[in-house]
Parts: sequence; C-alpha cells; structure tokens
Amino acid sequence: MNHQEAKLILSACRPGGADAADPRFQEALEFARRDPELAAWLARERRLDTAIGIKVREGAQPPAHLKSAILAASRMVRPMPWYRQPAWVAAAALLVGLLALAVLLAPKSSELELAQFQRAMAEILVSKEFRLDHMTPSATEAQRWLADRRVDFVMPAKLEGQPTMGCRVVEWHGHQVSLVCFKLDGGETVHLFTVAREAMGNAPTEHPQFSSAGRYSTAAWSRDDKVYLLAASRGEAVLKKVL
Amino acid sequence: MDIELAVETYHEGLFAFALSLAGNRDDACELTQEAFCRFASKGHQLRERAKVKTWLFTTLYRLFLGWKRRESRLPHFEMSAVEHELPHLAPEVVESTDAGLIMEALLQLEERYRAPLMLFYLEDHSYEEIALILDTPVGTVMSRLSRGKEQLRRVLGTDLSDSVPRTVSIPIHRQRPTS
Repeated sequence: MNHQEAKLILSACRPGGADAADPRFQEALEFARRDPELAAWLARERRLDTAIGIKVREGAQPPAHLKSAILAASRMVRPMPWYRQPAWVAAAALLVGLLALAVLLAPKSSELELAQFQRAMAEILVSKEFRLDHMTPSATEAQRWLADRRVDFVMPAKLEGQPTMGCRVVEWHGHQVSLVCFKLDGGETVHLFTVAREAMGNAPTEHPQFSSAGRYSTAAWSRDDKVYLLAASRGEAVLKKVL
Repeated sequence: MDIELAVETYHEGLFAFALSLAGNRDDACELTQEAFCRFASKGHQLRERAKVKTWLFTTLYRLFLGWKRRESRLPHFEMSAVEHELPHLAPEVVESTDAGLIMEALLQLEERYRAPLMLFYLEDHSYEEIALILDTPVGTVMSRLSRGKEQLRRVLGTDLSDSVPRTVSIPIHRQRPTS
C-alpha cells in the first residue's frame, strides 16, 4: 500500500469511528500510524468530515409535514397478500427444481478437489461481504475462539507467534473451514484456511504445493488429518517467508 | 418493523438521500413518501429487521432511477476542465458557515458524487452498504467519495472565499414526470 492508496481507502472511513473495526481499514490505519504526514492528513480529514457532516445533516432536515404525510399515504396502502404475489409461486417452483438438481449433482467429498477449495477460498477473500468474525492480534486468542466454536485447528509451527488480525469460520460443501489472518513483520497479510483432510479427494502432500487462485498466490499442504491453505495477495515470496 | 417505527427511524435519512438525488425538496419529499408506500405494501416480506434500512434506501434509489429513465436526457453545463490547487478549507470555517450554504454546495456536485457523499455524511452507512444501495462496486464507491470530497471542497472553497465564480457541473432539474 502506498500513500495515495491509503488516502483513497481512508476517505471512505466514517469520522465517528463506526468503521474502526472494519478489516479493510486496518491496514490503511496502521499505515497512517507509521506515517506522521498521513496521520496529520487523516486528523484534518476527520475534523473536516465531522464539520461538513453536521452541516449536511442539519441542512437536509425534512419539512415538518413530511412524517405525517407519509403516514397518511401509507395507511391507504394495503399489504399485498403473499399468495397473490406471482414471485412466491415462481420461487417455490424454482426452489423445488433446484433442490432436486442439488441432490443429484452435489459433489461427494471424494469428488471435491483441492483446486475447487483454492478457488472457493480466494473468492471469499475478494468478496465484498468479506469480514472477520473475531478481531484479535493474538494467535492464541484466535485459536481459543475457534475452539469455542468446535472448530478443530492446529497452528502450523512457522506461524506460531505471528500476530493475527482476526479469524472466522466458513463453510465449504458442509465442511467447516477455519480462517485466521496474520499480519507479517513486513506489513503483508496472509490468510490461513484449515479444513479436514477428508473434505477432498486429492489432498496435497506434506510439502507445500504453490499455485494461484484469482489474484492470490497459494500454498497448500497436508499435516495429520488437516489440509492447510495459505493465501497472500503479494505473491509467492510472501508465502515462502512463513513456510 | 411496522410502518410508524420505520418512518420515525428512517424518514430523515431517506429524505436527505432523496434530496441529494433529486436536487430539490419537493421531489425529495415525494420520493421519500413513495419509498415508504412501497414499504407499507411489501415491507412485511422483510424477515430481518436489520435489512429494513438498506431495503428502504435501495428502493428509493431505484424509484429515482425509474424517474430518470422517463426523463429526457438532462442538459448539463459542462464542467470547467481547469484544475486548481485544492483550496485549504479549515473545519472552523465550515463550523461557522450556514448549513444551507453547505447543502447548496453539495447539490452542485454531479449526482454520481453527491449520492454516495450524502450517504457517507449521514454516517449511518458503511461504504459496503453504500455500494449495495447504489449497486456500485466497493472500489468505485471509495474513489467517488474521495473525488466527491475534493469537488465539494473546491465548491465550498470558492463560495466561502467569495472569489470569482467557477463553472461546475449543474444538472438542470426539469419537471418530474407526472405519471
């Protein structure tokens, strides 16, 4: 991330602090903490955004009569009964069809492949709904949080002691997958997915296999009854630092 | 959520958003009212209360797009391509400025900037919710917020310093369609 990218991202951060926990802002905020010039810019931006926000909200107050006008108008509108909504009938028919299809076509674990797992996890990382359910800088705390949710997770030796950003649990074809995001010393972020070995037919060997999925470089390996997938957006070199 | 609670909770924010889209208070009132009428008719289908806010804002935005589709193309004054140094705008200056003047400046911006900016300044919506409401990628929302703030500060900097007027993109809002 450079100065300009950090500014662009931080421009979308609400001044009142409502976005402070959002992982997308974490890196830019961290960058600002290390860069006095950017920190000063951010402080000015927040003061100005706060001042403008107050004035905009004050200047966009609705007329006094609007609330009663809305309520009067809405009383004349009757809710449409569900059975009259064609969308319900169509949706029900579609659902039955899709369920039948899903049962017929659902892949068995042995048919699921590592490549599918890599693609699915990379899609999660770039999804605009991406989030971490538990934010913590402590890998031990992340492990504890996952254990509380009965997600079996063993920290690979080389990642022990690395600070984390947080973790969450995702589901892949009925299998629970743990995700822990780590912050490396150089500022890079790596994402570690762990899933049961039985989840796929062609689990990788114990030696990391490097590949790519979308804009992510990945390394996958097996250890005991688990498959690990490490992903980084800044190339294979970042992965090799921790493997 | 019943209609009365929804109106009580969201009508101010929806009106502000409608104002940023329509550019005038009469149309903003009508858009807001229409969004709530849709909610009265279909809102009971929303099972999650948390989704009411996004549903209302998205519905209002779609109503506005429907209006626009029925309109002829809006004539625009072309924006001056002259790029000036971004005027320094001190928060104290904004704090002592009339809110109406700040709103006027916001309404002078192009719609693609003023809609996300209004949602941002309401502070009720994350950038992801703004992207959802405006059906726009997250990255685009971020760049529009950044660019929109620059434009707003230019307009405010010019207005507040009372210097030579500059040309900005001003949509000429014509009469809303009657149907």
